[in-house]
Amino acid sequence: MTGALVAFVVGAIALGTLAACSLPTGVESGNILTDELPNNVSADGVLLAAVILSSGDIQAAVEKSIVSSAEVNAARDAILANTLNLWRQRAETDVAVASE
Amino acid sequence: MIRKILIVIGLGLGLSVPVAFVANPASGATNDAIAQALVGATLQNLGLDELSADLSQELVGQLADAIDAGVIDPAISAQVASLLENPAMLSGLADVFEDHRDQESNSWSQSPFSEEVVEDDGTVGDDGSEGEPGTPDGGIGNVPARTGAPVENTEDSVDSGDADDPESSDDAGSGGGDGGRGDGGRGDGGRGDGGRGDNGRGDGGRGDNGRGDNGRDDGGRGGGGRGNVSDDD
Repeated sequence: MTGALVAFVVGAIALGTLAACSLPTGVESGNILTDELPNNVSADGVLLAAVILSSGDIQAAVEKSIVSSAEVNAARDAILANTLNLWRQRAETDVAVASE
Repeated sequence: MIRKILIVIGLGLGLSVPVAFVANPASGATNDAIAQALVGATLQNLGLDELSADLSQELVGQLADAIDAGVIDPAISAQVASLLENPAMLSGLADVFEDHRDQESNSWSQSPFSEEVVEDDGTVGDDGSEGEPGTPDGGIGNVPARTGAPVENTEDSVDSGDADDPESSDDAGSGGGDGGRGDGGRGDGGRGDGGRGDNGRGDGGRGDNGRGDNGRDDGGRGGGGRGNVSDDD
């Protein structure tokens, strides 16, 4: 009986560990606001990509280095996940810091 | 003689100005004005109503450059230009923006620039050649995870890997998820040498070890992150 209990506990721990490892840790909202951004991503670039997605040729924009492909992906995902406002907040902060 | 020359010049100007307007119907308005209207209208359409003056100015400047570069749809520019005197009417373009966005997003997702072409096992359909010099930003390899979102724990990945292992790129991909995000990433590594796949859309990995120096040093493979990440956790 004790053995079964131990096995159950161990199994539960193992399962929990595996589950934790596989959690989608992609883009938490807090990360957008605070974390270091990759070199090829800027918050205002993400917003610009969102504007161009709505009104222009996004591939041409990437080819002409107006936005990076990473920024386009971030914009696309943010639109789908409704997190574009977080990028706006990040951009506001970054622009304010840059202008200081 | 002088009179004839003046007539020829006059005729030339008379023809060239209308031709210029036909070629670019929006040219009656300045690019800055169109850019300002576009930024406001498109972001409002995306639910962003409040933009600071500084950020707005930054975006308008960049978008004006994009208009100069011919990146903005001339038809949309023309529509916006025609509504500049009545900005309230810009909201009537919501459907235009949404349709355009859907179309561009789909097109983007299928383009070689998008990481959507990365196969599920983390490998790339080709040899990563889009990382060749000249590709705008190193192709997809440098896109952490699916979004280019913030990077964490950049130092954890040092030991990750099998970056030196010539065979390892396949493994990295299949690892999928574990180390995910970004390893090959960003940076220079991703470009060029096939970095792309590893980063593999990595499901999981993010944060952990990410970004990998492997990627940067060795052409991005990303073996990087994988594996050891979960150990660390």
